[in-house]
Amino acid sequence: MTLRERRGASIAAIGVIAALSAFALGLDAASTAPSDDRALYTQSELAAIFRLSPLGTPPADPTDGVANDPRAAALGQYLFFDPRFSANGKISCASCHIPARGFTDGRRVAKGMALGTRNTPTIINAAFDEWYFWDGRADSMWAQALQPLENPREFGGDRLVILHAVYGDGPLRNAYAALFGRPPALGEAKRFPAHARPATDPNSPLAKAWAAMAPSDRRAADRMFSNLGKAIEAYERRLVAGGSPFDRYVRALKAGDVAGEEAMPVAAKRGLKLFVGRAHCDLCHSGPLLSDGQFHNLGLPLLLGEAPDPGRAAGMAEVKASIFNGVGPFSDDPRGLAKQKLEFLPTPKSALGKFKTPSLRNVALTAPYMHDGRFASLREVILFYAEGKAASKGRLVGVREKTLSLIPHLSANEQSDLVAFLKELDSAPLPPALTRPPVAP
Amino acid sequence: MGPHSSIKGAAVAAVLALFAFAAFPAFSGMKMAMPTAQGFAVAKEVYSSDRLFLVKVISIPKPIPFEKYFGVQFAIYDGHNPKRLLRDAKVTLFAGMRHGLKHGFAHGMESSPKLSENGGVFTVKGMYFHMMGPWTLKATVRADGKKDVAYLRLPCCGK
Ligand code: HEC
Ligand code: HEC
Repeated sequence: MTLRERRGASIAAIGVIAALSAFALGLDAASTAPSDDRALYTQSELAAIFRLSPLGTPPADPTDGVANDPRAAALGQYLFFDPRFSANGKISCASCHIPARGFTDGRRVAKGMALGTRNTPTIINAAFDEWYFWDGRADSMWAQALQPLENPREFGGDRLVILHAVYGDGPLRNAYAALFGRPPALGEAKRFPAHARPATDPNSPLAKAWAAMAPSDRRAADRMFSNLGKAIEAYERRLVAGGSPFDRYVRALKAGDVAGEEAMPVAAKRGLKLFVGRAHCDLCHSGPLLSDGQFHNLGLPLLLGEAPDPGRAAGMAEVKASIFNGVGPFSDDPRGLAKQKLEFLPTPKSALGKFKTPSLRNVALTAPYMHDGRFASLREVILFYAEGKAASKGRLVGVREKTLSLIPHLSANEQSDLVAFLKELDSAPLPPALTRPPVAP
Repeated sequence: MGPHSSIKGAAVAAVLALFAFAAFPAFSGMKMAMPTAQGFAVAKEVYSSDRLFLVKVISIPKPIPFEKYFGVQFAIYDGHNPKRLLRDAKVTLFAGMRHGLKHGFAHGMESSPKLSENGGVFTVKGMYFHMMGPWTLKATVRADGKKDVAYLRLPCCGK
């Protein structure tokens, strides 16, 4: 037994004695202050804390018929680490979602074939989300995965070149066929050109090649493309990790386990109290992900030279128009939640300048912060909140959400305490087999 | 019953409402105390600010689910004759949280619900509460050549 544990144990023993004597005196034990950390929080703070942990398991995704198939996860993992699908043969999903960096890249904004405009979010626990990207322009993880493949700043590919790459690789093609059946006859060069994709400019060579294909071949190509996304999702759904010091702390708090309550330092406990209490962070950073999965406008003023980003207002239009959305022809369950999500989208005006609330799990590993990576450290993020409206001076896109006015002035010590709390949210490591390229698909 | 656009008397307020017209009991501090059982109950009926109309709630989930789409049904009655159902009422809705604001809302919902009407019964689908605490459903009612606003307090979300 270490010194630390022993001290915890003796406190627990005192707790038991106190409870027993209260009992002996005929007092209501519940009315005496508990000797453990529960005494630090109000009843409503405790209730709020208990809503943040444990992580639990991700919801089903019925729009992806292979979401929970281990063979699909293996194929998806192979695709995730495979650089052959990019225009320069060097970029894979893992180039930006680097496992050793909490599946982010440490850059302000992402860099693939060219520099992007947004910060790379983590993929750990993304399976819990209902919307993907900072602006929610994808409504499933499989539809999300298709976009970087064709984004000129990321992979710079097109769906036909990617399908050919899979088709031309024996083991990959077999793994695909075992899951989804025979792929289209990509060997027939007349029907399936080397490069093609739909594009906004109908005169681009890629768009022309796509338009020249038979509608049934285009449909078959889209089907195969969407299936690759579904396999990638099956892999990403396994990147689920709780088990942070915070989770251990909450478990101990629930159990009244005084020794277990040493899982977090005292400053982090003060930070937690602020987070669910006076600072109101959990209004948006709610639930086991410490995110409501919804969209808010924090009133981040435009940086020098930064183009205005409409955020969700644009993302909603894209997801509605996408052939790969949850109600489209490639969804494995176009009814249910997928339908409701698209049917009840808010108005574009109300969504201007809103971005998705990021999960705060693993946040210490995923600097820099915000959709445009403007803050290098957690300290800077908290300072932004602490300054209140004054931090939103300058040109805004849309309207700063008034909910933020609930956040009071935070002293330097309080800011440090919040940072200390955010540092206790790192997940237990994922199984190493999930964080490296597999030998075979 | 069809989509709201084809039905006379029903529409959905899609714009962000910036100002509410009536004073409203100030936010009582969701963080300060555990909500009482009573605090978490939805009123079955509520008068509009000038008591011109009575909004009667016909159905609402108990408790309101957190981060899930849900529906509400209600009907509008004459405030001076609460037995008289107003079949020709026009209603627009906005749901949001006030967070202590005396006027207007700190934010609305992250969904825009659809409202339809059939025989004086209004059905709202696609309500979605993404934040814990007291929400306010603002119903602007027009009937008998008059207009009035009713506020219904919807607590989120029993736990
Ligand atoms: C060039 C860097 C880069 C590459 C390559 C890349 N990503 Fe991303 N990823 C990003 C950025 C940046 C975002 C956020 C973009 C936005 O919101 O507009 C993102 C967002 C995501 C998200 C959404 C996370 C969330 O919380 O909404 C997922 C999931 C994801 N990427 C998976 C993938 C997969 C799978 C691949 C490979 C097919 C991939 N990424 C390739 C940079 C990259
Ligand atoms: C009104 C909702 C809301 C409230 C309240 C709120 N946040 Fe956030 N938070 C967000 C959104 C939305 C973002 C992303 C904004 C963007 O990039 O435009 C964010 C970003 C962050 C980030 C950066 C994470 C990352 O990966 O980039 C941290 C850290 C953070 N918030 C912590 C807090 C803390 C601590 C509090 C309380 C003091 C708080 N937030 C209050 C909605 C909120």
